[in-house]
Amino acid sequence: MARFQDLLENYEQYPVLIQVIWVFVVVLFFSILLGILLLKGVRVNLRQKEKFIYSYQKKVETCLIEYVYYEHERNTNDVFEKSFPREIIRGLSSRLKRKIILATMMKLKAEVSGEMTLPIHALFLKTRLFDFAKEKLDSDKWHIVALGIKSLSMFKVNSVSNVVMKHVNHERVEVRREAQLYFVNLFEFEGLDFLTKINAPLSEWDQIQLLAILNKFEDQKITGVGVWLSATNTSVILFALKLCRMYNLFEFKEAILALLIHDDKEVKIEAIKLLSYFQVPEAKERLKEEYHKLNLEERIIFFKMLEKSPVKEDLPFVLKYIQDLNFQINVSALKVLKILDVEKFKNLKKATLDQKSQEIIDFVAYK
Amino acid sequence: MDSSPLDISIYVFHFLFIVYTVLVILSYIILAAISAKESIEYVKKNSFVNYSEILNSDVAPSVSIIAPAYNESLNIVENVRSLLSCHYVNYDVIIVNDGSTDDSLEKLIDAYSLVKVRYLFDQPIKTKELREGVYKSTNPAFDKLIVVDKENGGKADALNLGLNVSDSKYVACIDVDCLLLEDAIQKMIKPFLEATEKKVIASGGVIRIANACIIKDGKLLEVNFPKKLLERAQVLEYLRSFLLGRMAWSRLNGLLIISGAFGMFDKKVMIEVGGYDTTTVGEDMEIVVRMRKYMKDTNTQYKVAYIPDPLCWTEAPDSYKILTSQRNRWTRGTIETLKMHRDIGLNPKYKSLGMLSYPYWYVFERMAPLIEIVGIVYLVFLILTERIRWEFAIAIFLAAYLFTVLYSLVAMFYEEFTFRQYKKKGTGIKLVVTAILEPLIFHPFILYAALRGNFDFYFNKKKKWGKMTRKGLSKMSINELKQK
Repeated sequence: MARFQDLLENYEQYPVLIQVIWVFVVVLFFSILLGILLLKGVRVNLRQKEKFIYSYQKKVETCLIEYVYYEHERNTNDVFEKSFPREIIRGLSSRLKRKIILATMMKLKAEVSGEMTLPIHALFLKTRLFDFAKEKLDSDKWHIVALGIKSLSMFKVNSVSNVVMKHVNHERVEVRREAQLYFVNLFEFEGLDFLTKINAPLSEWDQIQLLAILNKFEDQKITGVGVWLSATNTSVILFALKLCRMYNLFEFKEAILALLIHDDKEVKIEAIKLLSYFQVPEAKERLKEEYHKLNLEERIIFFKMLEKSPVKEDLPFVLKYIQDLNFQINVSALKVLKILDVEKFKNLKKATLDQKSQEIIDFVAYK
Repeated sequence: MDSSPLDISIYVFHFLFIVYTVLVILSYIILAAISAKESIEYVKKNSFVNYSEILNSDVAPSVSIIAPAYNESLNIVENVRSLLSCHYVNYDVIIVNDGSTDDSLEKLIDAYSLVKVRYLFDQPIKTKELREGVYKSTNPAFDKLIVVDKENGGKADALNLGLNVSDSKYVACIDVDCLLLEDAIQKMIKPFLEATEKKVIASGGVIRIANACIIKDGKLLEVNFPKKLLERAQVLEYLRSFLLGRMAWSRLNGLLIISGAFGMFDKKVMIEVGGYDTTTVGEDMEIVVRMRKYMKDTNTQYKVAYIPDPLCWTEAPDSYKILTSQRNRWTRGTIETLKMHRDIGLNPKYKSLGMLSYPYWYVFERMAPLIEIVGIVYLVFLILTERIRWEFAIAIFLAAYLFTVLYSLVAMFYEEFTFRQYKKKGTGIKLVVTAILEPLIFHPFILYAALRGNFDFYFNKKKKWGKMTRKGLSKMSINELKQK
C-alpha cells in the first residue's frame, strides 16, 4: 500500500507528458482485459448462434419439405393457411428465425420447380413474410431495400412492381441490380423494359446476371432491341449487342452496322465482333474503307473478322498487311493469305529471311 | 538557460520519438476505423451476391492463372490439380517451369499426359528463352493446362513469359505452392466486372496461413491453428495486415501492394507498363506502383480492388532462419520499389498515391525498423550515461507493447465478425496468448530481418531471393491426418 502511495506521489511530480503516457498505459491495459473478456463472449455467442442456426434450419427444412409434399399431393391450387407449418408461423416473430426461415425457403425454392413452388409462394404471400419484405422497400438502409427486393423477386410477387421500379435508378448499385433482376425474374423478356428507364450504367457483372436469368426462359420474344441499340446509355447498347448475339437477332443488322461509327470505343469493338459473328459482308467493306481511321484494337478485331469469312476480294487488302508490325494483325493476315492463295503463301515462306517472320509463317503453315 | 547541447539534443530526440509514436498509433487507429467501415460494407454487399450465374456464363471474361515454378517437384502435381479445380467457366492455367533443375517437368508430363505442342505467341515483354517449349495435355480433362518450360530467369521473368503466353483478358498471378479455394476466381473477378466509372486494374487477395490445416487432393478440408508460436504469430500478423491494414488502404484506393502469392490483374495494362521488373526482389509491389503511376500519367480513372475473403492459403516459414530470409527479401523489395518510384513521393500530381500512400509506406514501413533500432541504441546510450528517466522509458515501452496487443485483439474481433476461420474451442485463448507473446518473441526476429534487409540492400547488392524451403501443403496435411 505504501509503495502504491509512493508511486502516486511520484506520479504527481512527473511532467505532464509522462503522466499522459501512464494514463494511456492504464487505459490500454484495461481495454485489453475488457477486450479479452469480450472476445471470449463473442466467440461463445457466435458458436452458440451457429449451432442454433444449424439446428433450426434443419427443423425448418423438414417442416417445409413435409408441407410442400403434402400440398403437392393434395393437388389443389388453394393452399389454406391452416396447413402452414406451425413451427414456421411461430418463428416469424423472431428476427433471426425469420431470417433463417426465409433463407431456407429460398434454398428450397431454388431446388424445386413447377407446381411444387406454389405452396412455398403461398406461404410467403399469406404470412407476415410478405409484409416484412414489403416494409423493407421503404427502409433508409440500402442493403435492407436490396434484401427486400431480392425476396420479393424470389417469390415472384408482382404486385409491388411499381414500388420496385422506383429503385431501378437507386444511388446504390446493389439496389439497382436487385431491382433489375426482379423485373427480369418476374416478367421475363418483357421485364427488360427497365432498360429504357435507367440512367446509371449496367456493369458487365449486371449484364452477365441478367443474361443468365434470361437464358432460363423458353419464351424468347424480345421486343425493344432496336431502341436499346440506339440508347444514349452505352452500357444498354452493349447489353443489347450481347442479346443480339445470344439470340441470333440478325434482323438488327442495320442498327448494328450503324454502331460502327459510334463514339464509344467499346461499342464499336463489340459491334465489329458481332458483325463478324453474323458474317455481314457490308461491314467488311465498310471497315476496309475506314481501316486507316481504326485504332489498333479495332484493327485486330477486324482482321479476326477477315479470318472468319475470307473471300477472294480481300486478297489485295490482306497483302498490304502480311508484314504488319503488330503481331496479331501479321498472323491474321498470313492466315487469310494461306486460305485465299496458297501459292503466294508458299512463295512468301521461301522469300522471308528474318527468323521471327519465318517462325510465324511456319506456324501458320503448320496450322 | 544552462542546458548543454547534449541536453538539447536529448530533448529534441525525445520530442521526435513522441511525435513518431503518436503518429504511428494514430495511423493505426484511423486505419482500423476505416477498415471497420469497409468490412461492414463488404459483408453487406456480399450477403446477397449470387456467384452461380458467372460460373456458367458464356460471356464471362477469360482468365489465365499464371504460376511460376522453380524446383517444386515435391508438390507440383498436387498443386496444379488444385489450380485446375477452380469453379469458373472460362479460364486456363499456365505453369511456367522456370528452368527447374529437378524433375518438376517430367512429373507434370507423366501426371497430366503432356505433349510438346507448336505454340505461337507474341513477346511484348522480353524474357529468357524457352527451354523445352510449350506442353499441352492429350487428356481433354486437363484441356485448361498449359506448361511452358523456359531458361531460369527468376519469378518475375517467369510471370512475364506467362503474360506473353496468356490469351486472356485477365491474369491471376499466384505462387504455385499456394492453395486456391474453388471460388477464388469468381470472387476476384467481380470487382473488374462491376466497375463502370473507374477501371479496375488489379485486385488483391488475402493470403491465409495453411500450416496445420488439413488439405487433401488440393482441397482445404479443415482450418486449424498451428502449434508453433512462430507459425501462430504469423497467423496473427497476417490477420492484422490483411483485415486491418490492406482493407483500409483499399477503401482509400491507396493499396501499394498486392501479394505476389495471389493477385488478379488487367493483362492489357500490365503489358502496357512492361510487365514485372526482373531487377527487383519486390516485383509484386513494384508492378502495382508502376501500374498506378501509369494510370495517373495517362489520366485514367482507376482503382486497385481488394477481396478480403480467405481465398488463398499458403505455407508460412516454420523456422526462424527461413522467416528471416523471407522478411529480409520483403524489406529489400520495399526499399527498392520506393527508391525506384521516389518521384511519386509528396508529388501532388499523384494525389493520394503521392501524398498519402507513398509517404505512409516510406515513414511507417520502410523507416520503421531503422527508427526502432535508433530508439534502442538511444535507450542504451541514456542508460550508460545515466540520463535515463525510467518512468518515461517504461511508460513508452508499455504503451507501445500494450497498443500492439490491443491492435491484435482488434484484428481478432474483425476476424470473428467477418470470416471466422478459427472457430474451434480454445483457439481464442491461443490467439490471445500469441498476441501477448508475439511482440516480445516474434517481433525481435522481424526487426532483425528488416535490419539485415537494409544492410543487404546497401552493402550486399548481389543478394537476390534467398532460400525458401517448404514442406509442402499436402505433406503437412497427410501428417495431420495420420496424427488424427
